[in-house]
Amino acid sequence: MFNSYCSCLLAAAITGYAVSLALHVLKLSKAGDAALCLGFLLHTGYTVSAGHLPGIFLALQVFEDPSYMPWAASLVICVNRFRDRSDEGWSLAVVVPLVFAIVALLTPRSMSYFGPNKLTAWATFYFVTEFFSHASFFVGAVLAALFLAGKAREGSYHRCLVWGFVAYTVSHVVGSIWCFLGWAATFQWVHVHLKAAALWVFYANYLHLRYLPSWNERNRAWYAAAGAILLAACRYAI
Amino acid sequence: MMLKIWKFIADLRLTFWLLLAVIALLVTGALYSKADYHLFERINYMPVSTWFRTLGLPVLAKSWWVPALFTVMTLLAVNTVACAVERLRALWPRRRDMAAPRFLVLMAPSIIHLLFVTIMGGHLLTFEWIEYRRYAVDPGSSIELPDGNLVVVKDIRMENYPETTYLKDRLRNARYILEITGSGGISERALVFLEPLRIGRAFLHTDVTKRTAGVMAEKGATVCNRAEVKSFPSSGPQFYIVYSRDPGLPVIVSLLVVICIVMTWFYVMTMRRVKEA
Repeated sequence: MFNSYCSCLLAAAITGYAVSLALHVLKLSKAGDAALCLGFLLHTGYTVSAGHLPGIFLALQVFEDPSYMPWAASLVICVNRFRDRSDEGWSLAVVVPLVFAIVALLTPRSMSYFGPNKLTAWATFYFVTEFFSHASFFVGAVLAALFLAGKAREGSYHRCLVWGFVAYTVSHVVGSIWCFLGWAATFQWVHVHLKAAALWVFYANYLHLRYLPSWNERNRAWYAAAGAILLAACRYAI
Repeated sequence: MMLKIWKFIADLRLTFWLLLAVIALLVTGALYSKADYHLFERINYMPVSTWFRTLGLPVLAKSWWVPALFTVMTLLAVNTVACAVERLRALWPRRRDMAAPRFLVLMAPSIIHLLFVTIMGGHLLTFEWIEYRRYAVDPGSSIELPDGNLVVVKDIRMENYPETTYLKDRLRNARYILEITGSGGISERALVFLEPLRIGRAFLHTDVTKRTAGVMAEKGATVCNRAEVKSFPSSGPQFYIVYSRDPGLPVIVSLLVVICIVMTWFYVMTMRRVKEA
């Protein structure tokens, strides 16, 4: 009963995002922003409800839930949309929380086993920053694609990726602390750590492209957009 | 000739290709690691060279990416140092043309890169010289650590999730009551998950797995008579004490703190300059 009620919240949030996207495509910006806000609020309710799934509120359950990453993407878009209403790219980037919220809705909710090694603030902070950075990278990739199509500014996707990289670096530091406390090592030779390192190096490489003359704005945008493919592969295929 | 080689080594375009190679090798490694988790997980418990010689070489088709990754990372380290040196060489003659804080801000990225390379060196110390032991323990177990300390597990007190939750009967935490005998005498200490105990230069951590069913056959039997084989159902979790001594850890932690301070200072100064402009 509780799960059905909460799934309705996410379904309503998805509807809000879809309506927002449609309204922005039709150039009805104010109505589109209102639908985006409504979707974000409903999404917040659903994501917070994940913490109660085990019958006891566990903050980590909120940030491990598949709905957290699209929520973070929605937050990034809302904040930047209201900072700079002239850049339509942000309003069109709502496709990111829309798609991943649908994925979350289709993913059966489960309680990750909260073994002793997960019950630390370091683990919670790790997931908060890691999935926030993934959200920033996906939004940045979409903004890069929109820039290539002439519908967004170059500064938008770059700023998104830079903040995503900062959050991802913090997640690596926090994650290594958690790994040491739980498993006696700051880095482990397992696929989770290896693909996380690959992603970090990918975006570190992106930051260096500005210093290479042959990598103009359009080439950098292609690189940024390609990051979504690597990120999706790391999240779902590896 | 030497100048040409130096210019090639210190070229940012080389950095781009080396980073792409690192990405490709890490993704490749993640795929191989997922396909054969047990093989690659063993790297964490022994020096990488030992792992490669004993376990990696016999399956080179799966493990080739490990030495390749170390090779490319070494080249990247050389390239990073060369780039940083080139930038410092270009900045140094200009130091009298600007205020000292401005000069330090311009030098900061190169310093950060050099610190980062040193942190990678710390990781290399960990990969090659970590000392790691894992001991299965029960109440009453005694273990002798590699550094000569004797640890007796007096008790293990489990804490499960509340009975009113869906996670009831699942382990939430455990407290090991240890009696440690060493050069400093005898002391009683508690060890819990996520709070490692420091003993000298080493740390004690906890670990837990499911206790597997044991099957006992009669010793010396040449035929396995299944009617005589006993099996023991799982009876609670199996606890472990993990001993680790990591020479790279102080390098990594201390330089990470320094990098955080330098980077924060760099961005604050840069933002200030942007605002003034």
